[in-house]
Amino acid sequence: MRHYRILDVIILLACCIPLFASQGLSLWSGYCETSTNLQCSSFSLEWQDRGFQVGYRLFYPQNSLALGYTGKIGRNFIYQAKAHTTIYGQEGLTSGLEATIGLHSHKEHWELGFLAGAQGEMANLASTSSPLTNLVFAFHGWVRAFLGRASVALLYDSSTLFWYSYESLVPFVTLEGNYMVLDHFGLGVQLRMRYADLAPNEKFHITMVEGLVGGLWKIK
Amino acid sequence: MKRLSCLLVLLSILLASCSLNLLSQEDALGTASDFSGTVISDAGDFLILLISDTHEGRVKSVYTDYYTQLTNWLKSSSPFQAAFLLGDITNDATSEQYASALSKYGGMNSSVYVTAGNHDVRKNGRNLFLSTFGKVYQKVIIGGISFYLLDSSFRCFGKAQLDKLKQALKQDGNPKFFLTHMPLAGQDVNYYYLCLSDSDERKLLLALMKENNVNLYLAGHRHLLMDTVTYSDTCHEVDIGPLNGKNITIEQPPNWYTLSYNSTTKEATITQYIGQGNSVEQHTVGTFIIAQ
Repeated sequence: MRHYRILDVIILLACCIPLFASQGLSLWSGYCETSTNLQCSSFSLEWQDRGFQVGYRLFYPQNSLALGYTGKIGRNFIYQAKAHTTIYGQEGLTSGLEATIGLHSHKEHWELGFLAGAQGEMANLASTSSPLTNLVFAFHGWVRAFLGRASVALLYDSSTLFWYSYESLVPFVTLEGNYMVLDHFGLGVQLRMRYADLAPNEKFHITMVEGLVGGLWKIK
Repeated sequence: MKRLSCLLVLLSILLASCSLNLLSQEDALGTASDFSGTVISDAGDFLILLISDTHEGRVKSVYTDYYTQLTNWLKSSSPFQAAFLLGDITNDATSEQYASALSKYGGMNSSVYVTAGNHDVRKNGRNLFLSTFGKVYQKVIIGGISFYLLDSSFRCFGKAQLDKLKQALKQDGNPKFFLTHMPLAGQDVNYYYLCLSDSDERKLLLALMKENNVNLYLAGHRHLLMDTVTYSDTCHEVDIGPLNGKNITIEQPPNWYTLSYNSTTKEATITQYIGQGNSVEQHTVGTFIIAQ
């Protein structure tokens, strides 16, 4: 594990080099624990422009690539399409697609939005003789407050986060804070957790915790 | 700008090198459980009884005679070496329901092993399970096959249990069966919302099953019967239907099962028994070659 962490840090540093010369990028790195993956460092890199989003995430042994597009319909309706592939070393790979549509409102100090739709996923694993497939409901909701250069957001994702998908009712809850130190550069913090499927009267059980710090380079 | 970038990189490195073990904590029931193993028999043929979803205390839409059907059948059945109850033993995890479940099922056989379902851990259910049945996950060896009773009562397995399971599997050369409450397979959209919903845990379980000669994964919870799922030639998942399911169209009449193992042919046969009024129907679910 130690060697992988060193490798992770080297990749992180290598990826920082083009960042300093690029625009419209964000880099997140930090600590992540899941119920199956021993304390791992995670690292992700995202590029955004005109509704398009491209990202890479390293969460050893997972390497994920993701594409997304968010478009507007009229003043308040938005739609989003996402695709991702995650490679689990020699264990196999998972590919998923998600399509959602919803409402979005952005006032001076507030932004509110939700998206609902479906996600499909296919896992080709070395441990199974045929692919595992699924098609489930997907929901995203967020509220963001803007205070000068700072913003704080609370995000709920029912099943899919940008780089990888989970099955329905394994939601991610994210608290995010950003501060634009300079006009085109900011720092961010993300605290995220995922919890197990839940029905009325049942106990809450956390299956992932994540703490990330990030650098945000805004598109000029 | 340069200072901030350096700070960012430094923070990233610091965060990447720490290990907090935030998800490794267990409650008293988890702490009391382990895979040290109870040996009933090291070799030979055996017959075991499998029951799931007894939902003790359920009052709405129930089959009133399910317990009588089971006990009448037990009087004439061949003796079995152990009985496994695969969760949702109680409907609402009350002390009365736990006491009633213990009096009904605890005396069926000298070797009754129980794991919890999502209904069993409501309210104070985890503590009541501990005081009533003891361990919620454990290993039992019968006929040289290791039965791993796993706790999926939180609709997931959790880090602490999975870490212990990985260690136990490394040291276990026997063929193995996994028995738990939550099913793994969710390929069929209709059954999707009634299976283990954590993709990471499913991938890990499937990998562990392949690497460690786990031949069967037996689970309850669904109350709907789906066909046996084949993960590989020597790894299958079998649904165990409810003993006390609801008396509604989409659910089944009372079900219980036996698993018989022939040590000569190395075959395990799962048989389903369905209570139909005064009679009991019998179906063979499947015969599985157990890789040694």
